[in-house]
Amino acid sequence: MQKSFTVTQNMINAYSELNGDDEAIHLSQDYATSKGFRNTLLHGLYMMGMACDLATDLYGPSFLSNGELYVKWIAPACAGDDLNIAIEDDGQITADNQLGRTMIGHAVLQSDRTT
Amino acid sequence: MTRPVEIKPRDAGRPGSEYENWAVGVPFAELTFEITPDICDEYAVAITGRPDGYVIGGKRAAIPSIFGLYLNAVLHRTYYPNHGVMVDTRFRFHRPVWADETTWVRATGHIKDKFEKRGRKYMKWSAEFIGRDGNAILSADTTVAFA
Repeated sequence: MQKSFTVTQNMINAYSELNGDDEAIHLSQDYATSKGFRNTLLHGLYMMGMACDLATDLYGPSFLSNGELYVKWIAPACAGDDLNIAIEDDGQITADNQLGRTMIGHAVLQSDRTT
Repeated sequence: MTRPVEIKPRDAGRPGSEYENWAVGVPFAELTFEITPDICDEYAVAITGRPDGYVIGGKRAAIPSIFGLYLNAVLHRTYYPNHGVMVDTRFRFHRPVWADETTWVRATGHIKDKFEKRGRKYMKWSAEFIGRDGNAILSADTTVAFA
């Protein structure tokens, strides 16, 4: 399962409004580029939320009371990026933009953990 | 109703907390808030483009990662933001948040570890989100890096 979309500033603005994060790195292109980024940054927890939605679709309702979701951010995703977030049948999670991998992780049912 | 912005400390002139002041194992100041149906709907729209959520036994449940909206407020109530970058996080879900109800939450947490590696400072911290009945809803473990 996967989600593919182009990151827009409107998406970032809406998430910033929702979570109360008004940091310029998410909202000002001038500020973000002055810090060396290609554009404003998509919130990492936004990407995690999308991965969580995929994991819930994969595992069903039991994920809401028995799920475990781990993500690690390895590169920024910016406004204007083409982003693809995917989950494999074994719960492995990846997020890639046009430049490469931006996030990895996994989702499991805690009751299925062997370690 | 608690919008995340209402519980996130905001003071542009206030300095961020320093590595030397991070106290491993000491509980953070406790935080309470309410997750309301409108927040559940807004979050679902932001994440999925639709407010449906998930239906379990006829009840609508929120996307469980909704706690991501409140996560950093738990840390920042005690340790004011210092331009950290989130490295990773792990959420363990213990029960659903019902999207058509208001869920009262008490959050607590502590720093599990702090260390320096290759010139960067790291903090590992945990948070526990607990319902009015005293049972956990979500446990989170997060790593943050600082320049």
